[in-house]
Amino acid sequence: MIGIFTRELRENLKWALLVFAALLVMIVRDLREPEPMILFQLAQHYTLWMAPIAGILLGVVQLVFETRPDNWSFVVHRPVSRGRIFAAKCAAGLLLLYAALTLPCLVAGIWASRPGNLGVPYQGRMMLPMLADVLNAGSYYFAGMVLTLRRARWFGTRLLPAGLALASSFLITMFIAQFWLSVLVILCVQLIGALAAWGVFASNGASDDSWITRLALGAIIYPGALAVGIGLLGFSQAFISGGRWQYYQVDRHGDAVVVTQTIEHGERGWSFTDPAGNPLRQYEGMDLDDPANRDQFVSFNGHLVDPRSIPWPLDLMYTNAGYRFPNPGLEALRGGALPGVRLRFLAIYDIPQHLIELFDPVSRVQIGAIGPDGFSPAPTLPDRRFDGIPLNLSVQPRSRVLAFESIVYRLELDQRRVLPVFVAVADDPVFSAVEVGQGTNAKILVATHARLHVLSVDGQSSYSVPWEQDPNSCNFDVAQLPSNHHLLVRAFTNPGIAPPRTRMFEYSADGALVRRSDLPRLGSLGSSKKVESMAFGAIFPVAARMICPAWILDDLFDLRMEEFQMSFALVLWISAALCATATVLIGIRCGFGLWKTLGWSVLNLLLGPAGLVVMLGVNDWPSREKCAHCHRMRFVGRRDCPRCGAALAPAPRDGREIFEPADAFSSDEALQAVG
Amino acid sequence: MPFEIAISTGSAVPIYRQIVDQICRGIAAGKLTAGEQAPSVRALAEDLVLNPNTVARAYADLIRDGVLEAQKGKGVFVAKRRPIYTKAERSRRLEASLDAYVNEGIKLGFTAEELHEALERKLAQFQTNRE
Amino acid sequence: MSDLAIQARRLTRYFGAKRVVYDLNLSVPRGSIFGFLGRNGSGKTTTLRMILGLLSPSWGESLVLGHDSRCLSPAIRARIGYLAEGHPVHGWMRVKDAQAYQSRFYPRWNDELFQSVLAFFRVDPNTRARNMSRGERAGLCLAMTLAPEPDLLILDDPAIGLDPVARRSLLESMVYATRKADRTIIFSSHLLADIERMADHIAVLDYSILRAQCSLETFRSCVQQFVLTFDGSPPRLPPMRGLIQSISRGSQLRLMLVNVSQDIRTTMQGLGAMRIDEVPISLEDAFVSYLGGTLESDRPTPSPELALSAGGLS
Repeated sequence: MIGIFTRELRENLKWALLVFAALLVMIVRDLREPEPMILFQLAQHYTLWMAPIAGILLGVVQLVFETRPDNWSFVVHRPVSRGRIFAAKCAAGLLLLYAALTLPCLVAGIWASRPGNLGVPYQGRMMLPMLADVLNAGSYYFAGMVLTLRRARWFGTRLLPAGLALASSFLITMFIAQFWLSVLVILCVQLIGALAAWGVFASNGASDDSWITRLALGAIIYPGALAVGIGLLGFSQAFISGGRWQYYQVDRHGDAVVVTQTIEHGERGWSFTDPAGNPLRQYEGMDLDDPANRDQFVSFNGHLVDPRSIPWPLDLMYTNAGYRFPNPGLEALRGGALPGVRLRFLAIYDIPQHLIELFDPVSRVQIGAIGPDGFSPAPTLPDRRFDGIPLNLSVQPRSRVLAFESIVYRLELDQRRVLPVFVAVADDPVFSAVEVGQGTNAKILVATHARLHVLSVDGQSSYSVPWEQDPNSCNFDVAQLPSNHHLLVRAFTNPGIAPPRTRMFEYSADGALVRRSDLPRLGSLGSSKKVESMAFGAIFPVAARMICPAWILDDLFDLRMEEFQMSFALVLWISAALCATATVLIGIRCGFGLWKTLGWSVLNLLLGPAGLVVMLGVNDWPSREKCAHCHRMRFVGRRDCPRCGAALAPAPRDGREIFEPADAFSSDEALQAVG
Repeated sequence: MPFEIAISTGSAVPIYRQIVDQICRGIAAGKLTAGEQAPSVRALAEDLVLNPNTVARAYADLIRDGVLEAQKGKGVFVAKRRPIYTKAERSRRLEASLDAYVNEGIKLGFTAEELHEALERKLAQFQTNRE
Repeated sequence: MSDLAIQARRLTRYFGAKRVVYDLNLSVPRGSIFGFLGRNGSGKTTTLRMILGLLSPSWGESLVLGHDSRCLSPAIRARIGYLAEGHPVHGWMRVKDAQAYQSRFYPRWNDELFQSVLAFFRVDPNTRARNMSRGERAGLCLAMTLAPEPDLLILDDPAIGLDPVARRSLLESMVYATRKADRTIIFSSHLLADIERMADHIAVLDYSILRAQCSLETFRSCVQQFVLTFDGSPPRLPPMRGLIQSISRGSQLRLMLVNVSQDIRTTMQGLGAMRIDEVPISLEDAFVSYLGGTLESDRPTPSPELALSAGGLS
């Protein structure tokens, strides 16, 4: 076993060195111009895609030799069990993989931890995203092994095993906030991958081995098959909608315009109507790609949202919480002064310390810190700290507003101070704040649970109005009309709340509600959304439908399953029934036997068409020939005919046979004499 | 040893038979003298690149016919000429090979005088090789 | 039972709809050199893989050194040497790398044997396997296979791609390997000269069906060629069991027959020929006709050397 381990190390060292060198070069190049949050960015820039590539590469090169059956025989025909050979292989491969990926990250981490390099206090948790991605490389490693050696009947199915690893990447970047949970998910995926790879290795790509490895093989193929189905759906969506896309815009006067974008002959074209559908002459033939037309419509730059009202997992996008984000460590404040004013230092909000810290960008030494009362030069600290955790860190850092539940500040970091502009009352805390507008017309909007407060930039209250829509079920975006500086507030119902509605409210300078518009759900583009939702139902597994609420899928794939629930459910169940029926037919054709056919039917009822793909991938498709006795079809490769029970006929004789019993070979006495 | 055995594959004659024939002829031609040690089975097999069983079979035939004899512990030696065939058997064997010789000659179109001449020549050759 | 190194019963293997090995019964006696013959693609490699437990049969079973092929323990595998087709080895290895790697696995490693085989093939110790000539690589692989002193040696087409010098080295190594008593060698080959030199027993695979398993002598004696001379053109042949080739040229009819029984002789005599001569044939001609012979053809005569060797003189 050690022999195999050292040989594998020696053979694959060059690939590991290649990965190590490539990653190191990339990282070092980026460390020359470091941003404070560089370590999180390195994870996103590199380890997110470098680790999968390295994993698959190493998995493939380790099994490429064994793709030829004689080479596989050479590796396997040894006085060592195949399990130990495989374990030695994996030990060497994973060691090389993890070393090659971890060392450059450690270099970055060590560099960042030395004072004066990074410009912000180094925290160990900054390494976590990179480490999670590196660990995930192992999932791709096993996927690479499976896809190299597995005998895929159709060429396209060879890449399917990568689906599980991709699913794990997707989960840990988008949906899982805790590091330990990410690690757990990764280890589960790797266990499945390792079992599948072991099964494929031990049987040289066939599938006649233990049930647990076949189960793992099925599990590793399933996400890929499902992803292909979804991908095909996405592709078909373009066809169904014919490249058309509808969305709302608001013009300079606050009127809603429905823009329909089409693609004809590779060129984009637009048509414009009002929400009722009447065409708008003044926009006819306008080319929205032309930069001169950029200011035709209002851009809604400000967002007011209470993340607690957004259901998981979409709330992660607003809170920026989790180990992949600096929160609750540090957050860079990118805004912080009037536009056009350059900050001569880096500003970081230090969440545990409740302070804004300023760093010299050149020497990367901390200059001092800003508290509510003002600036204290290093090494002293302000007496008073900020109260609580800043809200909406996903959007706040770009604005001049720093909002807490009890108080909202306007940042004047060039003056090294913050200005309180709003203090909340005890029973009506703030949930979001934003600045809109330009120049003298700029306004600060503070959203509390009961009211919307509109303030001038120096904190003087302009007006405050109660919410027209309940902030617990809506999120808002805001803009200022350039023509008359009225305030526009658009309210969207949160995901998960039906029916989805969009409303727009226009307020004048003194707070009067001037206009209220309903922006109806955009027409289904000739019921294409209905068709799309039904098409989705055809490939979607019933099991997932039971677990996953429809609105998440609606949000992710731009469908209308909530709206067309009946049609969707109908197609879903018909598809499941067809899958089960197909399974039964395939089971009969392939001679599965009663329990196996029943089991797979139930499974495919729940797993959908992707489950059919898995079943065909994991089981052999036996050929058939005519039985010599009863002349009905029988399975080759089985001894007895299932109909008449006749055993396979022995090989026919044609008179040429020369057979001698084996014990005719006996040592002659004379032979022994001559020795 | 000066006596070389050369076997050829692709012949209609089995290999062990070729060995037997060559050893017999070698003895008859005087290249192998009585009492001389023959190579061991293994040595000959490795020399000629043959299955040792083939060599062993040839030797077994030769021992059975009395051409070679095995001395326990010492090896295989060329046997002293012992008449092991009956007179009738010897005559029968001579007749058989005469048949072959004459038939072949006639088929090739040689006259009886020419055949006589060839026979005389061959016997003379044998004599000189012995000396 | 213990006399047989390999025992296969009704081994059958399908690849999809194609039947590659059909109902094969094989018995390889211990201590013999066993030649495995058959045309390309007739199922030899598949059979050997099934016997080694590297491929599972569709059905049927086989025993190797008394143990079931499907679950060979590491201890048994240590006693079986297998040289796969194409002489597989890791390309980066030099001789000492291969030695260090291979010797780790086997408790009994005979380094002298290893070096002897390398010497037979004149393997350069400093070349990597991927840069070696075919013959050198074959020598390296054979040395790696022989040095662990296996009780059973399985060579799948070991002479493939080798020049005559390397082939001679291969045979020399095989003879050297017989120094150990009771060592069984199976090798598959197309080269009948090698079979003639080395094999005690042979098995002949005819496209998935085993047609012959016997000693080499038996095979030679069972395949016989007769020349029938007629007055005028030869008559049509009645169906004869065991007829594998018939060539008619002028007034002569050349028949190749297997397992000539008294009935066949009677049938032949009944054809009305002026003379019937039995003509000795080489192993190669016997084998070629056995496996691929034509029934009726105007093929040119076999090589003239055969006529000269009719008298048994070489």
